[in-house]
Amino acid sequence: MSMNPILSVRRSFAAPRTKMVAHLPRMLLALLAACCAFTAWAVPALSPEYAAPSPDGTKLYVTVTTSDSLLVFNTATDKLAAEWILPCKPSGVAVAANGTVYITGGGVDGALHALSSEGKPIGRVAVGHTPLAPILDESGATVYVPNRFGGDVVAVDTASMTVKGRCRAVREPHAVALGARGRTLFVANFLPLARADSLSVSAVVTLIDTLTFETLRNVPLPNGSTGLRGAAATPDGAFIYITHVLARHQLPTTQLDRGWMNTAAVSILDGRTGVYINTVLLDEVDLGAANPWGATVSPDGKLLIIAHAGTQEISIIDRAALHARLNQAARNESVNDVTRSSADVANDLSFLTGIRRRVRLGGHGSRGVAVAGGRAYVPLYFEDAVASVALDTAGTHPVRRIPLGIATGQPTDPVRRGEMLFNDGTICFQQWQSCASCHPDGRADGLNWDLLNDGAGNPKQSKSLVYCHLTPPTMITGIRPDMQACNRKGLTHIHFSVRPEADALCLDAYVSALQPVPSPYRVNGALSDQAKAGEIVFQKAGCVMCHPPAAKGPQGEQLFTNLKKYDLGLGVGNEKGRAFDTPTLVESWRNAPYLYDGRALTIEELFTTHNPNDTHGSTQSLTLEEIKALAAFVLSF
Amino acid sequence: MHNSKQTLLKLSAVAAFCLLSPGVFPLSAQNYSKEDIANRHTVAFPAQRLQRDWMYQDLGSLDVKNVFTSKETNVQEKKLMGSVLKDLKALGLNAAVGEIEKAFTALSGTGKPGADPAWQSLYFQACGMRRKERLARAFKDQPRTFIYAKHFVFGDAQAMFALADHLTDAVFRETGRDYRMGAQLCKMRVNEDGTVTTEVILDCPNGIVRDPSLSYDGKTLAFSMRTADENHGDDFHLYVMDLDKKEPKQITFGDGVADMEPEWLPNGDLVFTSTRCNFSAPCWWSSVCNLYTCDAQGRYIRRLGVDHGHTVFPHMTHDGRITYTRWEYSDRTAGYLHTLFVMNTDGTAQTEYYGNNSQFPAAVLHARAVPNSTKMIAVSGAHHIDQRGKLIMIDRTVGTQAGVGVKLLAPEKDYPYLESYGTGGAVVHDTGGDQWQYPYALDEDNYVVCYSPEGGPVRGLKGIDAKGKAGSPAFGIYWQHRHGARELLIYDPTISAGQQIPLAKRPGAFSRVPQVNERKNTGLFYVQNVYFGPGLQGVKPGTVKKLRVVALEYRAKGTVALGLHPWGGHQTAPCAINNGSYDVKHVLGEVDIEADGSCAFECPPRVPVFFQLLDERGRMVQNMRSWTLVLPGEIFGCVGCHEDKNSTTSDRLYTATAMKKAPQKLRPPRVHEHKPIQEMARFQTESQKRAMAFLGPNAPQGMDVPKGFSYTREIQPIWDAHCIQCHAGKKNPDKADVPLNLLGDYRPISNEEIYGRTKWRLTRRPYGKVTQGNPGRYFSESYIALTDFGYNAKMPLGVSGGRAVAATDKVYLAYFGGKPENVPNPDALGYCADEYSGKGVINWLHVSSACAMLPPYSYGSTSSPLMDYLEPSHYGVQLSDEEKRTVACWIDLNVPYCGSWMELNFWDKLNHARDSGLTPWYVYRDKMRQIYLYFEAKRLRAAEIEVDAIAKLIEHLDTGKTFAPSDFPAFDFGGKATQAKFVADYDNLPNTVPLFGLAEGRDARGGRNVTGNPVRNLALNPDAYTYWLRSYPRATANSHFKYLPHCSPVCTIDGKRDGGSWRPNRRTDLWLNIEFGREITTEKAVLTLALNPNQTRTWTSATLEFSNGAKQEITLRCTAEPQTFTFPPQTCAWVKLTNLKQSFPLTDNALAEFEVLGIDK
Repeated sequence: MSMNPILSVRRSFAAPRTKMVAHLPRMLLALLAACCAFTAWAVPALSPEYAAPSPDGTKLYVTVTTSDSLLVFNTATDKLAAEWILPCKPSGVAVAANGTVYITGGGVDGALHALSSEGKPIGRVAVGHTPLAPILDESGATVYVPNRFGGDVVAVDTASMTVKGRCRAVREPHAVALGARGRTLFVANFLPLARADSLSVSAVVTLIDTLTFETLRNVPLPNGSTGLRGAAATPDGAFIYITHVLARHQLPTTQLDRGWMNTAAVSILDGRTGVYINTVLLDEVDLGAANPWGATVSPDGKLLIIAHAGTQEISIIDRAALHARLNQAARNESVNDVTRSSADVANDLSFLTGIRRRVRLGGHGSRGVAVAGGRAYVPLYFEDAVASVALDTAGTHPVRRIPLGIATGQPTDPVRRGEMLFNDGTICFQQWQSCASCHPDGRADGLNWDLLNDGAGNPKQSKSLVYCHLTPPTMITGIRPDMQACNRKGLTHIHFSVRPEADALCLDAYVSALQPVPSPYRVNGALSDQAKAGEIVFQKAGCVMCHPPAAKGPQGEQLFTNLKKYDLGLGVGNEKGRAFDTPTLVESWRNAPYLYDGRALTIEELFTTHNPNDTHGSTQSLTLEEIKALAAFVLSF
Repeated sequence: MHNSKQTLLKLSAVAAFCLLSPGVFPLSAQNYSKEDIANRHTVAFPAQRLQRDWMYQDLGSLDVKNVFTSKETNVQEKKLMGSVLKDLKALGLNAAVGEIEKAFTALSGTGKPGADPAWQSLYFQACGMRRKERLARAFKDQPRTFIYAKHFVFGDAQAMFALADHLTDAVFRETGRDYRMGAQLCKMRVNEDGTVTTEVILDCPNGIVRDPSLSYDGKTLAFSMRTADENHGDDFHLYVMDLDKKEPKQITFGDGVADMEPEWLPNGDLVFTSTRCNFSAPCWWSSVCNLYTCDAQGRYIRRLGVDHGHTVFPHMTHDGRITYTRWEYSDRTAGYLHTLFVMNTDGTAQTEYYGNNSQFPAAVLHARAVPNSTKMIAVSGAHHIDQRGKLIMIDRTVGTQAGVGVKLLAPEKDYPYLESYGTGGAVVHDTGGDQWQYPYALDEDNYVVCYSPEGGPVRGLKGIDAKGKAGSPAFGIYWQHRHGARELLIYDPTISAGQQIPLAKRPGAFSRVPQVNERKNTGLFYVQNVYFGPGLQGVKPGTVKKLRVVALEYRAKGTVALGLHPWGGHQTAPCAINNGSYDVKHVLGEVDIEADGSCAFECPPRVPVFFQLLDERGRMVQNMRSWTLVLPGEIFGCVGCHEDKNSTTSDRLYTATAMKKAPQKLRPPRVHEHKPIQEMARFQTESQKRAMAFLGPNAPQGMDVPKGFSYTREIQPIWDAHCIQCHAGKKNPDKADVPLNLLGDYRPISNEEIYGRTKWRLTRRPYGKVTQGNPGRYFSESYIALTDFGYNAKMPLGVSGGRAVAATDKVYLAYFGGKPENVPNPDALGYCADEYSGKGVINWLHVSSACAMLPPYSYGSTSSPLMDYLEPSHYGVQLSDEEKRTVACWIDLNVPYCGSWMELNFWDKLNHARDSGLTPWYVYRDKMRQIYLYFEAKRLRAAEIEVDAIAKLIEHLDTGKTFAPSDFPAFDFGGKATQAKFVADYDNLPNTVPLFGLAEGRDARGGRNVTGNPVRNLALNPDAYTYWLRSYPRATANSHFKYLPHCSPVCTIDGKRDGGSWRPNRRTDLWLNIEFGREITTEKAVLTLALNPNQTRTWTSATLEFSNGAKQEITLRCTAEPQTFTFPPQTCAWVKLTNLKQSFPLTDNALAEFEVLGIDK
């Protein structure tokens, strides 16, 4: 989802280069950067993101997102061995026992690529919209790939490189892991799919039977679970670990202390039965561990390692001790002053005390994590470096930083620096959250929050920031004049942080650079027939009055809003009689649920159940078919 | 032999250590040479102190008197060498170890005894090498230069830190035995070769300088200083000093207030402790400190907290919060609750950091954040000692209560938590053995600490005094490792050195955005679900209907020497019977609890409040037993009641009903027929009125109508209306056998009653004797009868309180013939182990009850049998629901008697006039009144200045206008002279108070008020006041129904027979007094009674008593017509109507007018 320019014009497919060759352009760039230190020029970023070791642990493959390549490391020397140029932005990597490397990438036209251990392309299969995080079964016969925006998971037969199974997930599947004996596939759905004004709102883990490739069931995580990023299984598949944000959206956002807005969590499921075991917090009472992302279990099964993208660190957890504590809690035995039963665990900031080490990596953007040769490797997305952490038993965990050719350090480009700050939990009071905690990828988290800009006692949905710079005022109440004001209030009133204006300017630049992802409702980039029919209904129902398709931004961005506020009689409780800002319809397909308090789970519901007086367009007289068509149209942008 | 000498020479060169001159042995602890004393400003430490400390460490004992002295053996010396060699090996100094071992072997081989100088030389050289290596490792990549302060050890005597601030207008000598002038700010450097250099950067020979704090840029030092002793006119104030220029600049001012402990905030402002709050230590006379903030020029001074005991040691954490120690008296034992608290830099989110529900560590002192860590290093000390104790590390990630997460350091071990039984009175904790102060952590393993290996007596001189008399050894500054290894860095034999901070630029702490909006006049509290957490464990959801918000009114000063104090409660001015409420309590109101247990409500800011949860009958289910507050615009919440601080909010709780509504406003619990009228307000300036509003419940009440919960106002009228006709003791001969006298009559307590209870352990308190048989306090018959002299207070046994085990305590057993089988509760623990505890008609909580959270319904109205007697089943009594709720409220507030600190809080002259340590004139009742009013006036003036500062702050924020420091008035109502003038003015008050109708412009007293002096009503004064005694004639009485204005005694002299009337409670000991302000002569009085429409009975007779001693019996008829009484001419200054008689049943009687006819003398 990065907004950064592609590094170079290299297009040759997976051509392995020698180390020198691989480094040459970067060295030149480094010189260039040095010469131009006082200009606005910035070195194009690489953005290393995910990593996977070779079967023997001697090599490590690192996806570099914005330079469309895969880096190969020698783990014995921590030196770069090769760079393979890819035809797409890589979004995930997995390595089979026979050495075959599988790469996902390609966004809307996403595909799985197979490469030999020498980097030669040996297969490609189209899998869906934005595939990522592939995993292999034990035999190497199948690769499982979640398609984030396709909303499904595919099973790819590696022998034939064909899709042999496809199963719907619930919402934006982001990571998968295999349970014991490969029987069950655990799918981490990124966002909740529920009315945001429900008592409990949480993302679910979808369990798929790998034999039938059908959904077994959906396992809800605790109330407030969102942003499910990573999944890992123990080597025997007995336990599954899912990393996520555990939002405390039940409370007004008055304090961050003790995780009263967002906590960082790992949920644990039984890899044999699929039963939810518990959720463990990764934060500590005075120090949050924002935005857990990648997770992995060491090959010996002893350690669970989780990357915290928000706090430049990893957690190294003693698995045996962790499960001993979980078992104690399950037996209603007191683990500490907080946990006296299973039900207490998800709220216990001291649960991991003494059995987990937090290791500072010294760089931003720790997303993926892999273990090879007794070390944990963590690509640092914003630093163009990889952190290598010794998993020594002494617990000192010295960290080596491996620059990727050139040590560019933190980005200077305002957009990219803004993206880094947007994902940075260390600028927040006690590191509890980053902007991305509630606005993952600059979008919404599916939850209602009671922010205090409009008084207490009126929770509202977090909003997507796409085009918010073009559609002032901001906030659903229009209480802030523009995106810039919002960003500054976010720093002061959500992070409680006094930051230099330069930071805010970078955040402005990043948010302004957000681009919509193509709608999965489109067919080959065009409106579907149903959506075309819906376009007519859009006119007929009067939607165009407030959401005019003709409203355009300076680059021709279709905005679908007249930028005005209306009281459509939709406010309830404390919000009765309040006028709300007309939102853009761009990425509606991605932003469910709808209305300020998320009471409409679908666009169809919005037009039917939640528009009783036809104040929000004349939709009560529409036929079901028209409603569906209208929804298809709205969801196509 | 030759070889050995060579080795020693070589080693000397290697060690390059300058302090190895042989010592003079045996060592005497405090016997320093003249040179040592003279060089103390330029030499870091006397050599013998360092040598002694090495020997302490290597011997593992303080008994070093036999080292290097023996002429026979070398056992001790070999032990020393063995220890230092072990350390050298552990440090990896192998080459040097080899050399020293060789020399050691050689020396041992010679068999030379310990007295041979060769042992000293070898040992000290080895120690020197060890020191150099230790310090090299500890200070690698660390600051080496430190600022430190030399001053006496703060604290001492009562209540640790209470006594460091002895104010110039103190009423009690608030200083301990170590208190003395003479202090310095110094700089030291730990050099690479292991030596330490020191220099004085600010000498304060005739005052005290303390509390250095360095700005984050390392350039400006803030500190506190008084430049004269307490008898010569200066109090502690804040100073800043540019370290290059070294010119101290005073930034806060004002006699009679102390500003101390400045700490820099990330934004360049300061937080500090100050006595500007004008609160008194709850059990003593000392002024306490609250936290304040101002900018670096001393502008915009305003308070952050409003706390009863001290809030001290503010310190910035790396995450941008202020930790501080808060001392609590909150209907819980005060001996343990010196809890570490935390707040944001703007004062918001004041909450426990560690251990507010547990006894130990009893006092967390001098806490500081550890760099690159979330841990805190601190000292675990005690209640009744000076500021010192054991060195501890607090790791909140492990636990937040009862020693969990606390490690003792140097050497590191688990904190030995034990739920023990002590009052905090004479009991001390963590005070035996070696002692620490002021730790500064370089990292989690290495510290620069203030340390005394010898420890010391609990109280008394440390160091050597001006006359050369040595007390216990002073504290020195040491490097110390987590495991205990240490090296001396600074030692001044004459005075302790400490408060060390590195002189270096520091990374700024997290700069947190302030949330306070001074323009607002409310804050908001919310609770997500009261049923969540241990507080309401087992209580069925739906049980709690209301939340009561109670504000605490803090005392301005102790008002008697030693009071009603077998144990517990305010010994220096209780507002309740012993063991009853600590504070005057103001019920601000109630709010509804939603069905899901949630609640959100607005609350006045800067008002210390606590909460009680009430069931549908208005009875308490659970009580908070601490206090909190909101600042203007703050929104402060809790999850439940009261979850562990290591838990976040529960994922099982949903967005609460109260979170989807507008917050509630506090509803007064009962309908006031008339709000109390504060007569004082008529005489106040607009600025004072603003300050009164700003202070809220802590606004001065002076002699005025009490605004807090008053037993006399709220409860006695209920007994009068429903109970006293039967429950009147012997006053009603027909029902003399009915127990429980509920009359509101005056009831002094005798010494015998309060101290003579055989089952009470504290019978022989020495101050019991000096009261000469009368503790000097009075309450009312009903109050005493219901509370049984305070014995009904319930102290949950086994979890707190006293230290006795009934069955094994010989003193206690003596009351039972020495036989455990006679003891009613043989297994009971604690001072209150008697059968009265919790067995009376009222079951309130002993104020010295457990620190730990108590289960719901532990005490209070719910379990008080009295409540059953208020039901119709008890002889058909018919109390209204409102009346029953009021009685329940009184019990649940812990039976307060007074609704203000002055309400009926009168004491007799016998109360400890001797041996009290108080300023002599202060001990008498009238002076007590005056001095209390002085401290209240101080509080009001300080608030005026604070209100002004806040107004300027708002203007600055709104308009950008800047104010010069001179624009802010300095505190100008304090200090000895002001105090003396205030008291003198009060003494002279009659001369300055106008006489109503004064015609001749003369002095009121003795003047005539009408030309020609005709016979007239000399009592007439339509402008009279009841409580604010501003003019003559005036009318006072010993009872005043609900303090309603139309029932006031002044109604009897307003010249209107048909207006309001004096209506007292239904008592049998009433009096009404008319004072003329000068001598008059009278021979006739006219009394006009006020009767209810159907009233057929009233007082039947009374006595007129004159100031000349004469008395006149009169007979009263039941009529509203004026009744005239004549008597022989009396020359007098006052006439008192007393002995108002009526047979039972008593009725509500009232006197409309009291006319005294005569002439000025």
